[in-house]
Amino acid sequence: MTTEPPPSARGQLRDAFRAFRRNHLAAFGGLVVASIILLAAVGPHLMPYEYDAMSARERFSPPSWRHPMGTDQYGRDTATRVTYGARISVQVGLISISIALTIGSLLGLISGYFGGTIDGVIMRGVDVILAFPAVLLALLFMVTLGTSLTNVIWAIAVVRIPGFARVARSSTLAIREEEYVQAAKAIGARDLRVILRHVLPNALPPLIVMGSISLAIAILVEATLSFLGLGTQPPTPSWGRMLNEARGFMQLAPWMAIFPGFAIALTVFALNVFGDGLRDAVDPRLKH
Amino acid sequence: MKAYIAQRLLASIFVVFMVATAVFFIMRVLPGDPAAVMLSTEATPETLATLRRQLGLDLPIHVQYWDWLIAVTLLDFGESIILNEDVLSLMLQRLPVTIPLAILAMTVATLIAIPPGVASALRRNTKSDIAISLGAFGGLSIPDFWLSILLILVFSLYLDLLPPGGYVSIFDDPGEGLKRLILPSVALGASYAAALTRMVRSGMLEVLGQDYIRTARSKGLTERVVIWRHAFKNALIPVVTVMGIQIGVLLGGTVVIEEIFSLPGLGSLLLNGVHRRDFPVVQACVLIIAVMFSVANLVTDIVYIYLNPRIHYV
Repeated sequence: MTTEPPPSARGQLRDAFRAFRRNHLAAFGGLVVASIILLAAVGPHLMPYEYDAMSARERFSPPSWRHPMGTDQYGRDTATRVTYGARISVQVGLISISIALTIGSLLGLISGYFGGTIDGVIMRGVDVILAFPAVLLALLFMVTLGTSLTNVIWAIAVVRIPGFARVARSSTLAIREEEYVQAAKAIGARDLRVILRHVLPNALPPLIVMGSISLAIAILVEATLSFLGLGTQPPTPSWGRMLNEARGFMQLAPWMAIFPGFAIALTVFALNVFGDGLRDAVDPRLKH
Repeated sequence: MKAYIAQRLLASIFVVFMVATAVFFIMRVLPGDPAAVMLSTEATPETLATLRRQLGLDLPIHVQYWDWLIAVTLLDFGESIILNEDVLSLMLQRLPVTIPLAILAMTVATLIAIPPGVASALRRNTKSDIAISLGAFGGLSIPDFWLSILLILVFSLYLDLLPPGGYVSIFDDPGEGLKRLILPSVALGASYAAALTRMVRSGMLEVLGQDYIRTARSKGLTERVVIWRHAFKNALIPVVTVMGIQIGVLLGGTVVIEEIFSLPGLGSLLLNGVHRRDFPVVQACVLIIAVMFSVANLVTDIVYIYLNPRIHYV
């Protein structure tokens, strides 16, 4: 009945979408992000080689028509491996950030909505996670949990939870005082219903912005862990791992170091400009 | 203000205490007995029991926790299992490598970040502004380890201008030591510089729109005085906060950079500890870096108050 969310929410979204389309750089970022996700999904099926197909005769081939990004120390095709690497990065990024988004937002919503002791306990926990540099905490998790793809995902999720919790909490603090929330409470709606039906939808836009920026961080952290030998294990071709292997052959085969790194930088760059454009679109006050 | 600083100090001590607690429990409660992990599979039950006793792992968990807190407060981090040396003295040997690296990286980053940040605010929405913004996004997006590899490729392997790595103490041979820190500090400082450029730009834009800037201009002050003395000084306030927060990123980055450039610093001590499962070393390094990070945040908060006397804390 009267507990519907305010009608302006949809209008706000439409405005945000319009503002976003006007920002060419952000649109470019979005396009690149979409292409990389598509590449991760179908790319490996289109490549003429297998990611672990070795060829002794073609070791260290420079870029050519046959191998546009050259080959590595086992004669494996770098382009194929970069494409598979996209799959690992996208997979780790999307899953870990979905986990962080869900847990972090829930903690932030509860914290902001109820306040008091619950708020204090949750936020102090968040402070502790934030007291570690992200890569360091992920490293600590990897060394205790052991190296596996699942553990990489959990390590990154834990590292990113505080960001979402803080954003969700600060939005909730403002939304909690809105009339429609007060009205919902006054007619006797239960807390859970108020949080999920009224607070969450209105707190969502900044969380989505945070999500796209976090995705960039997640991909960087995964690449860093793999580069340090603590993420994905061979022969799985992740970008960080490939760069680690390339270090031994820098003079002989610089292409091994150039292409996977460029893939990371391009993906992270696209996510950053996309996220920045989203933020401007969602919250015009922040735009300079 | 004194009350606020005292309150922040207490909060920081609490966070450090919680960090020590977190490190303790992460290392102990998660699956896998540290002793078993350290000794790998071929250990006999006897050696396992000996090591467990040595590490105090046979004691009840609350006793272990209490011992850990006392030991950490007294800066007693135990002995490295692999290197058989006191962990504290190992860390003290490594700090003279990491601290100059971090300071140099911050200095380089600040120097290369401020001019473009100010310029892009003054030439807002022009081509140069867009170019600087793109450059800053690029700097934020390039992973430090890839940048390191590119720098080594260009400056060491092709141009042969700078050494690709290795360590010479700047206290023994300042010239050579500094030369060897140039590439690592650029690689470490790049994302720091990028974040800073963006902050300087938005800080300047915020300030340039204020009334007192118009007043300063209408008084007939030269543009230089208006920009640097009136605008820039005030634009620095948010910048300082970001600098403090970014110190954590910088400290985390030393792990990667020291590994690539073979610098024997705290980061490489930590990474070797990780690879060799030298738990006392890992615990201590993580704790020390988290403490340095918390101290940096505290100092940032205090500097912030001095820079912005309008803020009153109760």
